[in-house]
Amino acid sequence: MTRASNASLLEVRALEVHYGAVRAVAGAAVSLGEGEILALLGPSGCGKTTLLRAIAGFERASAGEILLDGTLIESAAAHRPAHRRSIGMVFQEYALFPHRTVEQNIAYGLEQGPLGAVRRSQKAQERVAQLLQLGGLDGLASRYPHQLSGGQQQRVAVLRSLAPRPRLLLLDEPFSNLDPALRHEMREQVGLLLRAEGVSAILVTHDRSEALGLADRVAVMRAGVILQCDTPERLYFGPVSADAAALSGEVQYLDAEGEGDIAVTALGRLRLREPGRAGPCRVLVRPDWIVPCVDGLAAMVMERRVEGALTRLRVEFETGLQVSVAAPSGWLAGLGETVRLGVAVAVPAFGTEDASPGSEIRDGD
Amino acid sequence: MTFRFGRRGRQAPGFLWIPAVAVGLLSLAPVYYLAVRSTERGWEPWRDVAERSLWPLLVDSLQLAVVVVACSLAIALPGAWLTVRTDLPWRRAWAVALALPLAIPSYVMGLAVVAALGPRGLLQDWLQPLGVERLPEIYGLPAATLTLTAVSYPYLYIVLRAALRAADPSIEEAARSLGSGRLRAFASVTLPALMPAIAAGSLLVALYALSDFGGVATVRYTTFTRAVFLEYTSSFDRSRAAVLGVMLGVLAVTVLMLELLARSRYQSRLRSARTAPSTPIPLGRWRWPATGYLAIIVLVSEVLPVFVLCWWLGRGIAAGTDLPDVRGPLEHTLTLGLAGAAITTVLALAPAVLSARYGGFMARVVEQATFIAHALPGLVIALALVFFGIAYARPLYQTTWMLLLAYVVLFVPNALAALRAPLLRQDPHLEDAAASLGRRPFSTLATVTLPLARPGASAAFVLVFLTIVKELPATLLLSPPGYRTLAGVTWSTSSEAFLGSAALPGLLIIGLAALPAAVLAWRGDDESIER
Repeated sequence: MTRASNASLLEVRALEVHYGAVRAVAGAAVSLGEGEILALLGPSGCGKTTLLRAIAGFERASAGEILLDGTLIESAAAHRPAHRRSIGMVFQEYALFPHRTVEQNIAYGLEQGPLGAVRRSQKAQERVAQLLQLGGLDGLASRYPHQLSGGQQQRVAVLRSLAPRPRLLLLDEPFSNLDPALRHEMREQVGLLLRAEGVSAILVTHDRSEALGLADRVAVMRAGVILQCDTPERLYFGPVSADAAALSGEVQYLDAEGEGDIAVTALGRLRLREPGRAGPCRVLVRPDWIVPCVDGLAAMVMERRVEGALTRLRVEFETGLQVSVAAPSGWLAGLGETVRLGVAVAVPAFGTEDASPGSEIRDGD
Repeated sequence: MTFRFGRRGRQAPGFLWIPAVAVGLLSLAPVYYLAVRSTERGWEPWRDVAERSLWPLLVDSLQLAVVVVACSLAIALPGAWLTVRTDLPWRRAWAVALALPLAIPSYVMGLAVVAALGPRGLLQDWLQPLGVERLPEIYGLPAATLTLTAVSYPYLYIVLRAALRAADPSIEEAARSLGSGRLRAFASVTLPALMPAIAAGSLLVALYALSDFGGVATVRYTTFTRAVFLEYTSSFDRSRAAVLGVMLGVLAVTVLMLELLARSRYQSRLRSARTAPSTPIPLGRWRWPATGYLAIIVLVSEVLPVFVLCWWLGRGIAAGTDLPDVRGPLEHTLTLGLAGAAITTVLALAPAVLSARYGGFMARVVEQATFIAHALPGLVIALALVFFGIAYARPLYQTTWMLLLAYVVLFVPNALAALRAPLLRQDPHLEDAAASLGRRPFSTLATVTLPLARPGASAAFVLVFLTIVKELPATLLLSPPGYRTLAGVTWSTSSEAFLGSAALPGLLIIGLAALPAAVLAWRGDDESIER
């Protein structure tokens, strides 16, 4: 999945940003490769938008540094102003210029001269036309932002920021103002747009499926620090800490005894993702990792709730252990039936201090 | 996101600061100079004023302010509620009509009150055949109350309208769903939510009553302003006028501080509320009494002055008296109004952009500096500029430039408020977006911020024009000799027994001011007229 080359486009090192006495970003470090799409995932107030704005040049760093193409653009002492960074930004509320048409909004970054030339170059004209077509906005070029739907406004905002071919594009919760159905569609469209343009991008979101579904790599953030930055797959199946696990998906922990490359649990002997653990520990078993399995342990379905594509079950094993299972709704397990279950993936293990036992579901938000 | 709406850390372009700071200093200069002038003769004039006139002036001024606030509340609260929340017939027209006294200067209103109700006035003329020889004395507090209530209640009305419109109607619905009747829901939920707005609006009216000069002077009620004017015109030594001016200034600034405090509380309470259109409350059989009440208000505050002036004008024409030549004054008033409005709006741009789009500590300081000058009555600013002109700006003194300078100091805050409102409504990230697209700060200002300020600028221009046309004290004190304006002519002829001469210029002022006032009220620029 990763298309990143080795050459690092953006380097953020031990960055700190303060708002008065509040440390919003507290030593964040992350890097981005050419053509890569990175998602910053975290709960509200974790500092992800502040980090993004510091990269854009709208917030000053109090410590650490930001490098673009190997050149220092931000530190406590140095600051390259936003308009000279060639870093585009898509704002949460889009920030479309209300007095300019769709076409004029998109062309804004291509206009030259201090007052913005009224006449655009031939090349700029072609670029605008190309983008309008790419975004499927051909017929709407002379509309004003307030005459557009939310999804259309969103596309204009993305196209506008792409027009001057920025080195890097930043997107601040770009889908949070759309209703869920449209959100999914726009995520696909914007993903295609970004990849069609081959632009490197950082996307800020608090929506797990958005981050995991759109990005090449996901950085999970909490309290101003980046906990882990990995591919969606590695993050979901191999979180490095209990916090990273909770931010990237639903969590449920089982007490276990490490025995080399397996862990002995009430659910049986589970393969460990990282072998070599010995003694008591806790293993992460996300509800969707428990699947029907002919030679699995028998359990009785105690509760059952269809939530669309997934059906959520609460099952009880003969030992009395209850766990939560998220199964495809196509797998019909009725209330009171006995099913046989096993764990399909190698599970990550944590120290007994880090992870809470039991199976309560913690949400990343 | 916690910091989504914070504009902290936004660096305002440096070139905006120079004009903004200049405007701030300009606003403070007269205040500073008045303070200097009042202490030039030592503490002797202070002791003199404190012993002889401070106490009665304070009592009379505050008494008037309190009575006017009470009367204004009785008009503005029902007026705002009826036009915002109920199914009153012709709601929109009433909403505009109730704001229209903004077009009537206080001295014209005072004139109309005296001409209608005073000795040998209209009412007595009509009652004479019935054997009524004398009407109760109208001069003094009763006439001052009537005059100032009629011209100042719109400020409270506009604040209350805005607050009622911003208040979430669903909180009242919530109270009713919990079993409260309509009246109890209003009293227990809506009214408390309105309290800060009521406080802020009332203080605004009090400030108006304390600052007004023309109204109290025409009905011969001596408050601080009239005392300052009498000292200024009658005695050779102007220290006492300066001392009284400083005292009035301190009083006015105190009221403004209280008002800002109340305002900050109601804005933080109401701004976030969702503004859903609510179902109008049916008035039922109260429709016509309510309409009647509003009709009486409009009749007294608008129809009466216009009618009285027309009647005197008619009598003057019938009697063949020489009407004053108003062509020159009309031209002067138009010139001053248009030039003053243009200059003031342009000068208010930089501080408005700084405070609405960038914020921060320094932008607040500049804004507060202009508002201190705004708290001071026009008469005090004019007096300060007279002293300033004589001492430091001799070439400017008694030129129209000095008069324009006074208008700028007086009305920059009005223009600033009108410019700010629409700028604040725009997405705070528009300038960031322009920067992220590679635009330099100056280019961002020219292509994004200034185009957005256009609707606010037209509102500011109209508002300042309207206010200059009505303005009296600065015009009286600072006009070059022989340079007569409509306000000046109305004032100087109103002391004559026969009001026929004052009627024409008075009507012209109302005519010039009515259209802009109606436009502002109709467009619903409540936030811009508020100041």
